[in-house]
Amino acid sequence: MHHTPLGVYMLSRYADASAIVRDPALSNNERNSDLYQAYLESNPEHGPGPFDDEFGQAVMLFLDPPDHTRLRGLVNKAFTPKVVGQLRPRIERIVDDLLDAVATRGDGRMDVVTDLAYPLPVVIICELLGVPPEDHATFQGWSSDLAHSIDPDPLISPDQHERINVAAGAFLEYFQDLIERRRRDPGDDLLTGLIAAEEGGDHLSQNELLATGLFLLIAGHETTVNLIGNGTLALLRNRDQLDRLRDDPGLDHNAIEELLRYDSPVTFTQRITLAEYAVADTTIPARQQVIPILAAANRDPDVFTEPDRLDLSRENAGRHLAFGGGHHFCLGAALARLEGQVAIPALVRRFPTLELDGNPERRDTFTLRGLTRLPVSIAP
Amino acid sequence: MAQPAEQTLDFLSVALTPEFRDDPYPFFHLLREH
Repeated sequence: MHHTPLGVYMLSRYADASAIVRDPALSNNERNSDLYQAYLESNPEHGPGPFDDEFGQAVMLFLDPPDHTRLRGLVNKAFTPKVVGQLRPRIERIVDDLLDAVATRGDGRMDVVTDLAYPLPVVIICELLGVPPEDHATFQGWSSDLAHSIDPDPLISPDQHERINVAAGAFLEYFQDLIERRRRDPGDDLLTGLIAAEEGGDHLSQNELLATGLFLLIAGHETTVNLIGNGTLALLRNRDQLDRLRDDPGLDHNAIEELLRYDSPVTFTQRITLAEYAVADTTIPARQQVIPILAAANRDPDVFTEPDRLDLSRENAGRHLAFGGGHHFCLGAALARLEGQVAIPALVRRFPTLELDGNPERRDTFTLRGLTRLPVSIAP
Repeated sequence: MAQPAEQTLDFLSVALTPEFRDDPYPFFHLLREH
């Protein structure tokens, strides 16, 4: 464990990170942290962020039980492996259509991010929620700016703070309008279900309806795009493994677990101590920020032999912490896994000569680790 | 990762470097071994 000059406790060992993310005694609400309160007071120019008001306090990601349990319970059924499994034909169809479009273009190249990794999860989460997929052009920029809001505060520039606030305002306005449209014209989708819960009594407040819908839309694609992008890049840089996956469909399931472990879409998460907390031979005082580095835990040699080696048949790949753990274990894990299991194998089999064609570009977020550009050639 | 970054455990000084963005794992190994 490392107590950083930032004043937070960073945990990079698997055993520590695993224990922290699973422990219900820790809070997910940053407001419980002394450092967060001090940061707000010492940086008044940043003003309250989009998640510091009543709306922000309704976002599932930052809530503790019992509110977290209640909100998650309203949407959990839509994301179980069994229900998500029924989406496989639709996901396969979208992937085929996207790869067909690349082949039809006929220029022998593609950008894996813009041609596949981004549109697939956007279309799927939009269809699940009842958001018109064509609106993605409207909210793509807001979503990208809001992705910075879960970065450590000292790493967010004043310009990014401003963009986060502008994006939050615009996105909220868009989503409020969408909710009103769904009230008038209900569909067979999650948003309609959430509206019914809100109208049905005290299951869901108006802020919670807005926050939950917006959170699902953003989290439903800003992470999976990273899985497909990072995973494809890892394969391109480890050609022997790409060739194995291309030739052996039996590897599809384990390959995605190994890719999640090897270059995780979410680098770290956060918990707050509510009382003195003992971990890694240290006692952390109450009201401290503790950051389990999921990506570091996933490369811990105490758990994963030769952790820097990509091995698609690694027996314990599935022990990774890429989806966190405990009651905040990624709600969309089954969906992300399925999208990865369909998209990445389909890509390497459809274009077997796939290789890097230029420099990949990393997105400038810290908590979310992904790419904005992954140029490849697909020429036969 | 560049040598200067490898010598420090200060996340703030490392996190903004292009080397960390491209490959954060050497720094994470350093943290874990500390």
